[in-house]
Amino acid sequence: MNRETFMKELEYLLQDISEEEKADALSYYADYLEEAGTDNEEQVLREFGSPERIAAMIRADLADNLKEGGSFTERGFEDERFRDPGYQVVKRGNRSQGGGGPQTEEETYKRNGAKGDGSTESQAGRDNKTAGFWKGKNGEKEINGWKIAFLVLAVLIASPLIIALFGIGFGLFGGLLGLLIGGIAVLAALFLAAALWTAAWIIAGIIVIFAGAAVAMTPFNFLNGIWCMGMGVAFLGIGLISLAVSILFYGKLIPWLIQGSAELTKTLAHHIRRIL
Amino acid sequence: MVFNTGAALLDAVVLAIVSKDAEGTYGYKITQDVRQAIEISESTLYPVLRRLQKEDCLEAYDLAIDGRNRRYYRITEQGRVQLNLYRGEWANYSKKISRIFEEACI
Repeated sequence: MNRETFMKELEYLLQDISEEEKADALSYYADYLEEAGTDNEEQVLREFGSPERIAAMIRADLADNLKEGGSFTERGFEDERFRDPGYQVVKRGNRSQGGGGPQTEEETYKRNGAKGDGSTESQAGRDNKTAGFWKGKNGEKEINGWKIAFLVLAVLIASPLIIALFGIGFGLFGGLLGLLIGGIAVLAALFLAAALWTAAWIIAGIIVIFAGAAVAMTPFNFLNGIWCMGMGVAFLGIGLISLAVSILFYGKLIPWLIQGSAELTKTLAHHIRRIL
Repeated sequence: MVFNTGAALLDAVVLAIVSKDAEGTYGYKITQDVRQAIEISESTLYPVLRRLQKEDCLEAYDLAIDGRNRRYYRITEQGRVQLNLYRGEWANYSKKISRIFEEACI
């Protein structure tokens, strides 16, 4: 970057401050470069850093002048007389980043820090002063790193718990499924039992009627046979009543169950969707 | 430099350097003179000079040299009072610190 570009960029970056302040700052830096001479121009510009940095410094200084004597800083109350100018500048520069490109500023500081041990001795000094600030910045980043590490650790530690929770969830689900299947099995058994019960009574009734008839055919057993047939008819009657009850049972209960379970599933699905 | 330079010390050094010349001196020269003792960046002094100006410790005026205006800084009466205060404080402070170092066992 040459002198013209630097001055032009600085002027552009300072367009939001008062005309007087801008003219003063611009004339100072133009003057400075003039005095440094063309031979030193490159070195001086390098040490200036980016125009963004200079502009941030100037703007920050103006902002601080507005709140006269304000010695409250991020570190609490500070003695005005022992405040570090380097720290101040960097800190303020950072604060006013909202206006200028923060990325470039930060990069500039970092770049300056990187070459601090190089040819420009004074740069090292400034960076020493700003080191505290950057340590703070890095500290924050470290804390962020720790946070992430802590989170990962927490997840790792909690993972058995999570698995256990999943286990409990699956267990509950399995249990419910078991209950459902069990219920269905009981119902099926009931259906089967009812059918068997009915069939048994009817078959038993028919058999006993025939048996009674056979008994009645034998000599001297006519009354016994008739009684037996009567018993058979009674059995058949129980069977027929059972059949009627079964038909009622199957005809009413099964549609009711299907309808009920369908409605239950619908409500459950609705609730689950609402929770999700 | 190992030791940080506080704002007050930098102010005091700048005032002392500017006070040497009755007709004042200019930004580039002040910077170079300060750099004899304190490692400051080429860009550091503008806010400092501006602040000292606002605090009426320095006054600026333009002087035509080689056909162009050069901004000169001159110490004010208030600046001298301030400088005197700083000098006294520094003498006191540096003496105490030096004594501690001299008494130290190495």
